[in-house]
Amino acid sequence: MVIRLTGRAQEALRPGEVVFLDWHVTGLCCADAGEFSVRAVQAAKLPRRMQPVHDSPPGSVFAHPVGWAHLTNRDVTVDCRRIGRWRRFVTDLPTDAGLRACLGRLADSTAPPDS
Amino acid sequence: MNRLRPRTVLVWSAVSLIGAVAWTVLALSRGESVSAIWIVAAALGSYAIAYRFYSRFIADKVLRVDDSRATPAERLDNGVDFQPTDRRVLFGHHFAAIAGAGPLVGPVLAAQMGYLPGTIWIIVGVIFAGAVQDMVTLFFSMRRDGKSLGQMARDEIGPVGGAAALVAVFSIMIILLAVLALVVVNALAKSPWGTFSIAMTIPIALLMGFYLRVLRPGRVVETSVIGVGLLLASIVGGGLVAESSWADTFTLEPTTLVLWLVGYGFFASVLPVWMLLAPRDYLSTFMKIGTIAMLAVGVFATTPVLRTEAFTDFAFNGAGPVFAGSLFPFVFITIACGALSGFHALIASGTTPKMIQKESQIRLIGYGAMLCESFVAVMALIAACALDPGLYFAMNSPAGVVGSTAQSAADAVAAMGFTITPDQLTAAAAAVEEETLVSRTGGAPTLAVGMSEIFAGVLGGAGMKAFWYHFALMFEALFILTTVDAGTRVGRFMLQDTLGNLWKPLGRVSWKPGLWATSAAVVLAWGYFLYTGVTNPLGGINQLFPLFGIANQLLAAIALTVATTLLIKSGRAKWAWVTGIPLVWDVAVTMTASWQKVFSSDPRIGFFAQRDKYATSLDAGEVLAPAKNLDDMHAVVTNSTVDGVLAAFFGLLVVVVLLDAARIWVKALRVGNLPTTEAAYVSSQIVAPSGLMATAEERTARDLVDAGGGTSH
Repeated sequence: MVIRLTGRAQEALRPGEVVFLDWHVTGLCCADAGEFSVRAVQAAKLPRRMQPVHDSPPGSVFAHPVGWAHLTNRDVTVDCRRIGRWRRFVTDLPTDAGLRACLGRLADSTAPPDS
Repeated sequence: MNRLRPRTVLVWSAVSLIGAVAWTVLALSRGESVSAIWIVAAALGSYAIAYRFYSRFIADKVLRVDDSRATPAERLDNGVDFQPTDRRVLFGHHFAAIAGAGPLVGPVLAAQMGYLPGTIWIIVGVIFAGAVQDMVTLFFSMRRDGKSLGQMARDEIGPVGGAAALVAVFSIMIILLAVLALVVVNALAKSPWGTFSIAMTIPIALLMGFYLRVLRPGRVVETSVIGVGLLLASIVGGGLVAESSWADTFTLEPTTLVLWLVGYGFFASVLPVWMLLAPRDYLSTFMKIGTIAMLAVGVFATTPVLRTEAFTDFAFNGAGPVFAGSLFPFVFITIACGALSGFHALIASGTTPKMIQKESQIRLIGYGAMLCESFVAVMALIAACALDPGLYFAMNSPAGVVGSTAQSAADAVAAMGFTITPDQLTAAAAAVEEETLVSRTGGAPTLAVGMSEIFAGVLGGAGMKAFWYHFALMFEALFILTTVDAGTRVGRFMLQDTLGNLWKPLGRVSWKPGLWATSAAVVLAWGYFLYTGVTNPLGGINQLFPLFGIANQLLAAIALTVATTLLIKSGRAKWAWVTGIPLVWDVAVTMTASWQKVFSSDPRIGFFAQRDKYATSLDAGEVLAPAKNLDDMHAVVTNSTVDGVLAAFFGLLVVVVLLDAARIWVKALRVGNLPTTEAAYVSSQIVAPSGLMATAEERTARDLVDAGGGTSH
């Protein structure tokens, strides 16, 4: 699995920044699920346990280890949409991708960019 | 297996003795004052024995865990993509993932039957059912590259069982959300302090989201510190608001809170993840770990005395005001997550198996974490049983039973055989700065009062009770709000997938109108049950909580069925009793509860008997208490009918899954075994300990690998 940055996403990254695929825990009664989000962060400020992943271009993407475990055999494309100076990074993962992954239904989805 | 050394025999004999003495004290004490420390000792002693012997038996003999076999995390580890997670870190992940609000509410409600039924089921249930389910599910999912429970049900049982499991999950979501939201409504109704504090969590989370995304990107620790500070300030601020002219603004009727919650559920589920969900995760994680740790410390430090009886009469006559029905099956249905939870199978088959280092670590992570979860439930039970029973029943009985004043509640509680004066009830409410504690059903307020007693005993004394009470309420509410959000999203994508087969655009997950429409449909579905729960003259929790319990145990039945099927299919049929016995028990409990809720002729228990009673009176133009008018009567008739149909539906789903699985069992038993979807064997290169602490042999093996430059984690 590879996380690819589009040209727009690469251009939007500032010096020292990487794209970070984060994982946010959500409760489901007495079990936790989670959801992905993506944003740009300074590589130097990432917590140590956030790991580099297979990416293109190399060294541009880090991921939360729990979220990453749910992306087995799945390529992800990260794009960036600008609104003025504000950068909004998005992935081609379907809406609710994290919850779908936790319930084993991510593979069924082939949706266009949305996250 | 190694022979036991004399020192080991001595240690385990001592542990057994402590556990046995504690159980004996609990079993024989009747009428005496019993310290909660005996429950703690019975629990810890039993857990230790179960972990040391039963979980090892299951791992070694039944599952035949093989540390020479690479786990998915190692097989897929190319040094970059996957890295097996240290067992201690993964234990923390797994425990945090299964320790939610669920195990705290169930034991509080089950305390109406006394402290002993709940204690026995939480401890025995986890040892022979809950922890077994989690560990075995983890094992089989790990052997299948971390497949989910639903995938395993489809692959190993068949499409019918798989579809039934899917329908079950969707139905469970709707009832789960309604019940948990009802807990929040009952905790916040007419409580300006609580309502203000919880309401503030939303702007705090939004502010954190904006801060983290726009103002100070990447500053997670800084943002969390600010968020937690604001959270504590909002609890303190709630007290000030309650005494100010704003109090009326935040004093909301239950039906108003329902509308707010339904609106919240919709917007939270359609907002981007980074805006609300992500920052609230940082807040709730802090609250969860902090509060559970504080409760444990508080129970150990204060060792409260249990003030309820070992068994109340309600355990046998089934006439309890908190929920109707006798000990079997309703105490098991009510405790739910603390002893056996189907939801844990979602974690054991989703996230954890993709991260584990060694097969043998399923004991620590699958079985051990569930024992810890059970201990959380034990502490919740202690917090409820340490309360004055008069206060407990005044708080947990529906308004139709105890009325709305301290006097009417004191009279009603006296009629139940317990004592509390109106002055004592008023003083208890004043101590936590609430207008009243009468009929604050749902479990959360009771737990909050119990926790405030324990916390105040450790930190701050009586003057801090109100703060701790609202802190505990916020702790419960935060979790429930994350479930409202996540559950709505889960229901939404299931609905999208299903309706997408009928009309393609709805299946397109990025099509916003479809997203909004399905979100609204899910919110309205649980909102309907929430509204009926709030307005039902018979009370809401006592009607809906059994449905939630049945649904939760139904999911456990599906997980245990999948586990039993895999044991039989993989040539381990002689050990199928390990999951088969808890499955039989769980099915007996679930089916008996469903049967009674559908067919019991007692209108307090059977939904249709209740419907008939009220419909007959309605036809005669009569109004039956606690209904106050014909509209109330109509509401009871409609609600009872819907609830009865749902109870029957849940029972039917259990039967469908079981029959479909039985077909596979018979087939597998005839031929010896059947092919499964187990991943092919790959030799492991990792050396890592099995348990929390590395043994001398494991340290030596690791040193050898390190010296040879081999792979180790």
